[in-house]
Amino acid sequence: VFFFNDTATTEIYTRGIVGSVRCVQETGYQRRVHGDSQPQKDMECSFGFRGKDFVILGADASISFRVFNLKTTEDKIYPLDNTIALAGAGDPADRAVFCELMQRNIQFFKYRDGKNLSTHAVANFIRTFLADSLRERMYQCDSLIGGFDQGEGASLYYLDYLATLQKLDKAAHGYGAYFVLTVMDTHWKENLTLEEGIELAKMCIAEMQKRLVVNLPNIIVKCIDAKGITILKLSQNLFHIRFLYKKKKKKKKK
Amino acid sequence: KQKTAYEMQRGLVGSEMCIRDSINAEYMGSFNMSNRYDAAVTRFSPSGHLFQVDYAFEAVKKGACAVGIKTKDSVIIGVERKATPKLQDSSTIKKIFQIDNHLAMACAGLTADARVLTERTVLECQQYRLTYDQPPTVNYIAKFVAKVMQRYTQVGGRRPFGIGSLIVGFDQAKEPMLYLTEPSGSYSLWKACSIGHNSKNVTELLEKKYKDGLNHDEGIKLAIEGLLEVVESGNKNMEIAYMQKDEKLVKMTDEEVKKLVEVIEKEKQPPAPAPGAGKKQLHTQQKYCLLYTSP
Repeated sequence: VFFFNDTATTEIYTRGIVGSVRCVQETGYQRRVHGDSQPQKDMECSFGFRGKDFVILGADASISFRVFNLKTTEDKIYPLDNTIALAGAGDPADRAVFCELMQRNIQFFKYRDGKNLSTHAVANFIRTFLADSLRERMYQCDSLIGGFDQGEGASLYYLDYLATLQKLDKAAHGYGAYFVLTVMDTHWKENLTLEEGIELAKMCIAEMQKRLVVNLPNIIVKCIDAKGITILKLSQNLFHIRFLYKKKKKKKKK
Repeated sequence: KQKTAYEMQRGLVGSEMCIRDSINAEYMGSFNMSNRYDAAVTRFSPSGHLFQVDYAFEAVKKGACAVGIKTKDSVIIGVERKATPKLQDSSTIKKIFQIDNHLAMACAGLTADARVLTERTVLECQQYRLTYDQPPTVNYIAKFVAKVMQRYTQVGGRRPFGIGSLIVGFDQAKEPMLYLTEPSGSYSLWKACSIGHNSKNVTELLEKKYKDGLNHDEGIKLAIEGLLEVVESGNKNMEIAYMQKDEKLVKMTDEEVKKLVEVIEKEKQPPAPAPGAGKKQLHTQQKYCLLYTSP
């Protein structure tokens, strides 16, 4: 960012990215001093998995503060580009700031270079940004980056709040991950079709809503494919689907 | 009184504070009296000019011509495509930049300066979106570009940007807007304007032919007519882009431009004389000659 002091003309070219890394000084460790028995970030859950030519990302839509449920319609899946999305889970403030910052930076690169970045490049940029800013502050936001590229196809990246990046087939964050990962381990397979993917998403949500102590009434699920990012209209309260599923099994047995 | 190198602090030698030894001063002293004051941006001349800024305007006048036209429901930019060497891939030369989803910019002058300035503007657009969670207005971006350019006219050790730019987009009321920014850092709103070399001819044409309430197609034709004043005839030498109310920048293909160029050129040609009417025509020509020469 160019700026001129009155006393001397100094040109400070930061990395040419949007937003300042030298912003909020409070770090994650300082925040723990507030006396929360559990770090707030784990209560927010997100999951994602890769299908044949799509990625499905799901994130809970609740914002809670200690015992209060402040909002149940928050969209935590941010579109970074036409076919790349970032699902953030973690401290609400950090998540909003971090995800919006990433949105603006990816758009900046798109207009500056005249060409879209691949999902791999985007995921690595975000990782580098997180890793560099760890020196000064922590963004308590776990992310899942899902994208579709023409040559590569669908790809899903798991990104930790400590800047651990891995390309995976299925991933999840938060306490809900304990339940969702087991469901995905059992039912995920290579080259899922969209219908199978939707079924798997519904199963994950049902498991989370059944077993997680925190009530997550709404979970927003988005599908990223060649066409772009679309919100999947799944039934909001999927508790009953589990029973439906069970009922189907009973019928088969008969 | 300005000091020479011998009379001042050694550390200030070579800065704007001391008189520069220039051979040119002796040669050109006769036809450029104010050469003393043009070595640095931070010095006014007695006549109130900032010569470096004036020279920046000259750099703009050397650049490829750009035309901007605002119609009732769209805004059009046309740029002259200068002849590229045979071996160069002309697709890499960008004159019309997309700054944001809903904004575009064309620059005339030094292409490297244009690149630097547009990159800075792109960054500012995203920064604005991050801060205000809404897209920046054309007015804001035009003011920003002008602000950046003005800084370089007031700070020592740097030269002004040698570009003038046309910034186009739609404002919140969905009205098309065309802004012009100049190396001096001033920005102004225009209905139709042109910058770059031979822009005077184009501006004259625009002043004659521009009407309020032009529709989109008339606007494109006018842009092409304007550029035809400057370029050698042919669609290869110009690039036209427009933005309509959907705020998406659309670049016209070479074929579309070619068709319109042909239409315009046909209209320009006088109607072919009927066969056997040669004598009559001469007569009328003579008549006109007489009319012209009479006092």
